[in-house]
Amino acid sequence: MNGTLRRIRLLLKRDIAEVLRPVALSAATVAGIVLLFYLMHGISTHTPTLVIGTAGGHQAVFRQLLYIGGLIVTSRAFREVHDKARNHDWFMLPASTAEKFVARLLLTSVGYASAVLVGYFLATVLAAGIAGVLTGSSPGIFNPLDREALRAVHNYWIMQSIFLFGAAYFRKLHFIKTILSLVVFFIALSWVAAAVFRIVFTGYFDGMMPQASLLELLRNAGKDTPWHESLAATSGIVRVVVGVIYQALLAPFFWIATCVRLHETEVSDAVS
Amino acid sequence: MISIEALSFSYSGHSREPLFRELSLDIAHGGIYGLLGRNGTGKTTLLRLMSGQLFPHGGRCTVLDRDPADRAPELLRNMFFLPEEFRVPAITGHAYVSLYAPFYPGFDSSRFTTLALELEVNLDQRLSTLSFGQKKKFLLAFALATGCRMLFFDEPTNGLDIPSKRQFRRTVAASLAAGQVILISTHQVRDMENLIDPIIVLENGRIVFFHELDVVSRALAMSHEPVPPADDAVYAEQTMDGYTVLRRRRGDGTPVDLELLFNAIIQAPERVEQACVEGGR
Repeated sequence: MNGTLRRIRLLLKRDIAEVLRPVALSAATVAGIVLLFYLMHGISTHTPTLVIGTAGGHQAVFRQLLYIGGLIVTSRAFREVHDKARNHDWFMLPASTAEKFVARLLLTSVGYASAVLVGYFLATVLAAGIAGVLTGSSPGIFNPLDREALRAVHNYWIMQSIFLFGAAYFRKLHFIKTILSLVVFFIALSWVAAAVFRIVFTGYFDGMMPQASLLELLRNAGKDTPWHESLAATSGIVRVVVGVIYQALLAPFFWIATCVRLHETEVSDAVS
Repeated sequence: MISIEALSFSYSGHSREPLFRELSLDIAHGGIYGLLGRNGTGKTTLLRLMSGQLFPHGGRCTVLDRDPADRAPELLRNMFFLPEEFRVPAITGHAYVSLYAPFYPGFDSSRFTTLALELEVNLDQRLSTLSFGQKKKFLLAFALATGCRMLFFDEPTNGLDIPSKRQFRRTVAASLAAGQVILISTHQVRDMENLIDPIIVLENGRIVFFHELDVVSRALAMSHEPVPPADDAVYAEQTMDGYTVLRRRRGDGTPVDLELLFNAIIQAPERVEQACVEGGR
């Protein structure tokens, strides 16, 4: 166990050291943009469209940094595994596949979310201070402990697990292929849902077109029907089940699938 | 130390013609082994199978009594693979050592410093900015300092200039520790002259030759002859001024040139093998 923890610590140290420069550069760019917005806010009082500076605006910017940046970073988490010139490093480094996976998982989930939470908070504090000194006025700072922010982090972890699997599964264009896969999955899911709906409410359709009575029925949640009670109970159960699957089970499922997938990965095109 | 029994492997699952079919190899002692073969015979693939980067489709492969496909840290810290093509991180040599050396319990820092000095590698420069040869020499110094019992070098002299090749041979020969296996795969046979022993030759998906040079010296002799040799020659090659002939040794004779031996093995594997088995006793 000690050996495992030690190796995970070494892997984290190595990974952080290797991405430190691009991460620092990106952080500095974001901080610069935040400062620019704060200064503009201070100089001109006629900038109500600027989102940065309000609680809602901060949350929007934070979510974009978290989701867009985080999912792109996550999609690149196992790039070297599929890269002929670099994969020996992944395969031959003395740590188990599970340890290497845990290190990347921690970095792209907890690590990235914490970095954005703390980084964006510090950027707004710094920008507010500088703008206050230079312009005499300064908008509010980002609150990293806001419930909205923490909910966004939770949702990010769920999405991150899917993109992490995509990073392990696809050999190239991981981000785009994961998005396309999700689109295809939801199209297929909507077809299945439509088919089930058509079968369950078969008496309320003219061919493939729903009757007006079906819309009325749905609007009232079947209030005037004898199965109103069971419909309400069933939809409640479905909501809870779907909620538990999404909130608690989806991310662990994809994390485990990613680890299994990585374990099965071999080098490719090794013929020289 | 390395045991391969009836190994089979092919790319693209089982659909293509197998690269290896019933390949067996047993490396029981330490030494600098030369894995020779023509381009595309599967030298790199065999090294990757031995190091757990590829999984065999049939048969068994064990290294230090473990299955390399498990990629257990206990085995990986005793194994270093220097590939022909690689990319290094954009950090200095010193930073690389501080980040990667802790994974290898047997890493010898002072030995690494000495090797880096011998190979003239600048440790203060970002590795990504070094020339290909410099990067290779850096990784070579690192590999030799890890203290791993298994070192796999894939075409290590590719990209090295002539002085560096000589430096490579000298450094590797001086670095071999007791019980350590250095397995060097190459098709540039001349680069490995006076370094590799025993010689393993891979051809048509199987090991066609596996002997120590001492056995070869006792069994075969080389000579230059002006006319085509009679049928008793094991192998002959036409040159500018006659023929270079490989015969069974009878008394004195010029020691066998590695490149000629390799060509002979590729062209007439059975005859060379038979001569070595009978004459090497």
